[in-house]
Amino acid sequence: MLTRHGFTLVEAVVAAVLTVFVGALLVSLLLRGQAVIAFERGRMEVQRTLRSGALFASYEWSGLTPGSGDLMALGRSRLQYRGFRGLAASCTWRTDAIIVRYDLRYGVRAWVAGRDSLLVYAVGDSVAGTSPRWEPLPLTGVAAGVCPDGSPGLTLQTIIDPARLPLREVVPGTPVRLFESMESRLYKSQGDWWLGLRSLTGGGSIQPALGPLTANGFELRFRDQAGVPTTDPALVVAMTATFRASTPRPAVLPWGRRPAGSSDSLVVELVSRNAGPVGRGP
Amino acid sequence: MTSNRVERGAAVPLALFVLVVLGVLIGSTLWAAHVESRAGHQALQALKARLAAELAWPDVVDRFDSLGVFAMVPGDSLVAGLWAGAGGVTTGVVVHRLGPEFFLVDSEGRAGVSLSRSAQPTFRSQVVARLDSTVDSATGRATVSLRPLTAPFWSGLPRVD
Repeated sequence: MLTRHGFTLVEAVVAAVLTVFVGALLVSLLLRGQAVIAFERGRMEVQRTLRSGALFASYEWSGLTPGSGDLMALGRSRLQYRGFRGLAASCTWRTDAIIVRYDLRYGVRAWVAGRDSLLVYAVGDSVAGTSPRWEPLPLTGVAAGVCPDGSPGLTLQTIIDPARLPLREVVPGTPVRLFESMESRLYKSQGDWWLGLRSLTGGGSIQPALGPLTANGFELRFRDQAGVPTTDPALVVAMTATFRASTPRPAVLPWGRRPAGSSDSLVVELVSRNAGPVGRGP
Repeated sequence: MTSNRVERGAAVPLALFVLVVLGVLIGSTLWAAHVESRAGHQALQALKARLAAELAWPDVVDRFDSLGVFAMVPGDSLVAGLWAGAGGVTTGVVVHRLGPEFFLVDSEGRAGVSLSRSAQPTFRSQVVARLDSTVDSATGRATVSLRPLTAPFWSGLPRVD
């Protein structure tokens, strides 16, 4: 009985060749798969960034009222504006304070004196020849208060100049908005471009709100009521925000191949929710 | 002549290795597709919730008369509508009478399905409107209508509890 161990030379060579071939195929597949996954992940990140940009633009800028001073300065990749941080309803007022209903407040954070300011709706006075308008007032303090009917309130301390805002033009239930002056702009940090946010009244440094973007990843264009491009903040009723993002520079794979990167852009057309119909422009 | 050969090879380990590699590749691709699908689904739910909130309040404003909103006294709140739409999206509209002249219409859209409860997309839309009374000089009859503020004011801020 013959028991043979081992392989012939031909078998060994064939096995080695096959092993190398299959191994190379598997390595190639692995690297290709890795590149595909990295590409997909990058693409998802880009799309997520752009979607966030659309939401950000919609929330931060849709409520700006044209011609009211809500837009303060415009640039191609920079915007200074009133960022709305609260809405409340007054229950009583005097020259140094407005008390709002505690149970009916809207906002994204607590209101801060100095950082936030007020916009009070003045109903206008036909005898005095004044029109309904939002009158800006400083917020000098926030404290607990009580409404005339005994319900809990919040005292928004301010300074009302009767010559500018006669108290008869403030009526029960008048809405009060709170805002802080903000700046949004494209800036570079640690090698990447970001859409940054900075509170002009709250101080502090610019903080990234969205990104990373490309070097031209945030562009703004503005239009007036007729749809004509404008750079005058008082005339703007609509704007176009363009966001561009791309995946980080892909790694070079062995044998010099470079997987494809991904870049995309999103154009957001914003018409102020508080404006009338806007022309499409020329 | 007979021979009893004992052959040894690497077919089974190699096949297992190939299967594992293929499994990892397919699994990774499926995972990426799954994550993207969920992200897309979440975005769609958020859009539905937003549209629900945006579309609900004009309908309520149109029905102010029939809802009895003008009979509310300042400080009152009225649940003017609560709807469940397709895909589990729910919408609620509450009207608050702020004072003799002012009304706040608060509309909330909430997505029915989400990745997690904490990430459930919820959108709010508020509109402040002012009453406008006109008196017909011939009949002396007063007509009350709702006039948007100058400028008509909209905000999308969340409620502070």
